[in-house]
Amino acid sequence: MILILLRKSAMLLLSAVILLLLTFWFHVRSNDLGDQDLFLRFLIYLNRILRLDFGFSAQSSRPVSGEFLEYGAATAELCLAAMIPSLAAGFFLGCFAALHKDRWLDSAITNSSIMFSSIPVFWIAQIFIALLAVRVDWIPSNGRISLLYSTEQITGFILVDTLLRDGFGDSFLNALTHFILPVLSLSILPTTEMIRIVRNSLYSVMQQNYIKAAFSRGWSSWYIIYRHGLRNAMPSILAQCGSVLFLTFTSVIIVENVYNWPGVGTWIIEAIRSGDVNVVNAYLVLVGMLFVVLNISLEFAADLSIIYLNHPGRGRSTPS
Amino acid sequence: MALLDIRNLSVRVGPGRDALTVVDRISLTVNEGRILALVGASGSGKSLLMQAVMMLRRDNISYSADRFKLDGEDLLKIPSRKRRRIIGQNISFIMQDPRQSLDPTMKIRDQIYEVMPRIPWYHVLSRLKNFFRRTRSKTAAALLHRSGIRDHERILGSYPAQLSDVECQKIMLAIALASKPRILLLDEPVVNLETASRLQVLKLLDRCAKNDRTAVVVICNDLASVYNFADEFAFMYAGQIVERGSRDRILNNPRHPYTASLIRTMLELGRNGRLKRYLPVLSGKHPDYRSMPVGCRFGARCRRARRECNREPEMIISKNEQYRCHFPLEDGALYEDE
Repeated sequence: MILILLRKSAMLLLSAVILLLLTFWFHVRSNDLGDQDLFLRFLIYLNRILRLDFGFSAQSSRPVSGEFLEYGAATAELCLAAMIPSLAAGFFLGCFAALHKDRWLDSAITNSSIMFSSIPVFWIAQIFIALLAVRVDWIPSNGRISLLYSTEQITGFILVDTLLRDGFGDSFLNALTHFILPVLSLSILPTTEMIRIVRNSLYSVMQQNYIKAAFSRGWSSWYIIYRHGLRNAMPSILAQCGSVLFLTFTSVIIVENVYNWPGVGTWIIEAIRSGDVNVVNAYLVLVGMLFVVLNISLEFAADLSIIYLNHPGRGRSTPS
Repeated sequence: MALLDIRNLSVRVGPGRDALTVVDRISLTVNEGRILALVGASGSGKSLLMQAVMMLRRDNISYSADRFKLDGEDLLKIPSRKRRRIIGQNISFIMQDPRQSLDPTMKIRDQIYEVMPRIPWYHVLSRLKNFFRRTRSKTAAALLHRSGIRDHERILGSYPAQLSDVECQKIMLAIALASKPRILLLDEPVVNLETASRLQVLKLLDRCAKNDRTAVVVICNDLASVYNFADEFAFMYAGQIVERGSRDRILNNPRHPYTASLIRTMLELGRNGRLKRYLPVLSGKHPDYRSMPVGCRFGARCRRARRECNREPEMIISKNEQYRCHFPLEDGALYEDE
């Protein structure tokens, strides 16, 4: 286990160095450094990044890292609110599809997930706005909370903040209604991806003889899926979950821009438009690092599940 | 009364209209305490028949039957979920390749605990928990002991990949017998085992049938491995049962030419192990289900085939013999030169 941890940290370090070299190249290109020693500049750059000092934003003249935290909280809240239900729903629908493979339930789930995954996010978001926010005017479609309520920050998560300040009052409900459309449009892609992953991994396990033997004992399907199916499919499901995260993070930029959500997505698009190199650089470093860390920790989780579920992949249970 | 009574069971493979009838209107009765060997070439539909008896759901396979009675209870009238449970409680099925039938990620101990009756929650909560845990592991050891495993401590604590084929087969037997089934179905239980362990497994099955009055159905494609162990034989060819009868009758006076050809391949090994003469190999090959011959399905390979064999033979059922042939062999005709 320590060996796996070391191997993963080595991978983490390597990816981090490559990432930093790339962003340093961007840094060199965007700032005129004259004929200074590149290695020395890199060390200085590294030092600044380790202190999380990305300079000041050209637009708002505030420190970039502070701004990132503020916008990042909004994005993280949106991502979590979209991902937790979509992971759960995708998981169960995937189990259903694997259990009823090649029957109508499976083809209904699979075909509709293919259909939903081929709808572009920016398009469905605009359709939602046109139908639900403009035509019938049920749900707000702009920002995180109505301007009538104060937006003083406590944790940065608006639902938590309003809850802490007013309890289950108007402001909380208002924030909640602001969540509906962005979460809806953001959760489509991760759900379909999760369905695909769970269905394929679980189905290949459900073909095995020990599953058929379990079925022949007359046990219920969900018990068999829980006891034997998921136990054997878990490592491959966990290892593929990275793509769900990836999908969410890429589509959240689009969703934030469509719904004018004050998160990292709108922030970075605004910065690119106005040529704010410090912000772009900070974004590249921080989001890149987040991705590397998440991906590698997911792989680590998959390895851990191999160990703790006693998979034949581990050395001990191979025939001696 | 027969323990399991199946009439005209058919299995169709494939989607919708293109489905092929692989198992064709098979009737089967299984009696308490008897060992029935189902012999046939590979591809004759034996395994499909067993899966149909277990009513295992599989893609692209549909079953139909006129009668399906388990111990007098008509299972065709029961909703499928309940039916699956009743079948699972009363019939145990051991599939081919026992190692594949054990979950590779669980210790044998946990897989045996899984099939044993559950400890009720109030026992788990109470101080008696440890006591019940101990009896549970004792029961598991006893189960393994009954299926001929002596070093159960090692076996219980190991994973399927660490065990040999015969150990896996015995564990599967222990698991199958844990629920005290009325009927035990085995799909080629001895095919991958060497002679000594083959005999051990067969002896265990024999003890199951004789002591516990379990009905045992064994599938095999090799008559020689089971001929002195089964009480009854049923021979399958191209999805039909071609002959059925008790051991003495079948081995001495087979009626169907296919049965005779299988038995002859055993008899030609003389007493001193030398071939008596040229072994009468059955020429030709098993027919394809997509283009099944008209009339008798064995006709193309049968030396006795005449013109009448273009008509499909009915199952002829008399007091102690059942066969499906227009020109059955006479008594003692097995030893005649053809």
